Amino acid sequence: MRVTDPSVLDDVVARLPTGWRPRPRALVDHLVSFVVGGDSGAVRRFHLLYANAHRLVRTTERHEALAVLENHLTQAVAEMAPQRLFVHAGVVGWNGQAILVPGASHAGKSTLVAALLAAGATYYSDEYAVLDRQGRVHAFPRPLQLRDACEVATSVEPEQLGGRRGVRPLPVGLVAVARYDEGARWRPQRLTPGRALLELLSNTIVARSHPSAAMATLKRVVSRASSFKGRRGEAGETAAWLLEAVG
Amino acid sequence: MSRPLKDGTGRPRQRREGLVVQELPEETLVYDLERHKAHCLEAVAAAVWEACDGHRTFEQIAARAAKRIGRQVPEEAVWLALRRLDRARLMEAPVAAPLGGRFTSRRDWLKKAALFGGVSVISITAPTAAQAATCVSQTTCAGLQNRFCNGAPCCTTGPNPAPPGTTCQKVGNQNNCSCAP
Repeated sequence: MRVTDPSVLDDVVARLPTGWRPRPRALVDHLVSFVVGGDSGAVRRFHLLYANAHRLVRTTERHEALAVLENHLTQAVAEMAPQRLFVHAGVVGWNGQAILVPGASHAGKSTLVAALLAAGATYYSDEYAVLDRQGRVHAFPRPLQLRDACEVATSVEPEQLGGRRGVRPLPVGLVAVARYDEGARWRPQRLTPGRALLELLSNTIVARSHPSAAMATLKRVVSRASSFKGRRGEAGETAAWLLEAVG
Repeated sequence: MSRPLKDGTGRPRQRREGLVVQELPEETLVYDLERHKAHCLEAVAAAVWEACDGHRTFEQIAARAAKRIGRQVPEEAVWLALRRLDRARLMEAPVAAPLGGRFTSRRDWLKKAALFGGVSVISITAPTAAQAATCVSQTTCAGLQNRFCNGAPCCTTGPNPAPPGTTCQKVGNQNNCSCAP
């Protein structure tokens, strides 16, 4: 990661992936460059962000460039992690097992995770389920991104919702594909292991690039976990059901 | 690709090239590396597919499948499963229903499918890394050069929502990417 203006470094460091550490070697696998713009006299320069030689964004808004940077770094880690499988999902822990809520952006994962935390579950992630080869899920501890009525995202620490952060990797006890649909009632159908695997695969970052390894890991998950799919309305009702189901 | 089987005497052969197979207790997962599609074969379909070695007749396939799943598999169910496996491009050659057979319409096939159960082949298209990741706002998408449109889903909510079902892609000769269907 390199920048053209050191004054932006604090903002950049705040957006580095969890567990990052400096490396003294000049040789890197992936180079991200932030050309800092802004107003200088009569000239208004763009903020430019590059991944290797590819331009990721050109914007006059610094916060937007930083948001793209954060998303890009997270995705780069998800794609390049050699020992972990990243599945787009919310994750909480309950009674020594993990509940996975896979789904696309804006499917209501973070809201459901927040409701689960309020009900006493332990926080693991609202963005990615990080799975090892045994099918256990590890914490991806970034703050929750909760959207308000105007759909503006706000970072919320799990402790603010009454939750605790999980540390130990957990086996997956429940997979719940729960898409938000206003006014819907949570009446899920049980998924067979094969269908549950398809649901997880459709949210897996390296589904195309490493299908064999992804399917092997997901098989371990669905062989052990119960899986359900349905439309949910109010998050609290669904959260209570999920905690009851995982036991 | 061998000659299509157009009568009831063919000996179907499962496709083996370019597939990743993962077996579950009652289902089989198949990933097609050429088309980037993942298929979940239900119990009967999985048993039929496994039995299609290019040497067995339909009767032998039905017997082999019955042995594997522990219940009777009528020949009609074999045909239904083969038709669905064929549609999913999991067979070496296209498989057609027997001439003058009892299933002449799509409705007949569906009726039989409902009766037999377990013959479904459920398919998805595997997402690209960008599609499986968080969506991008329209503003972010518009800031990308057209060479680097990443195909990520565009956010349908937020301050500048994109139309539902759009992805960040190159449109016409524009220099930058756009959220488009």
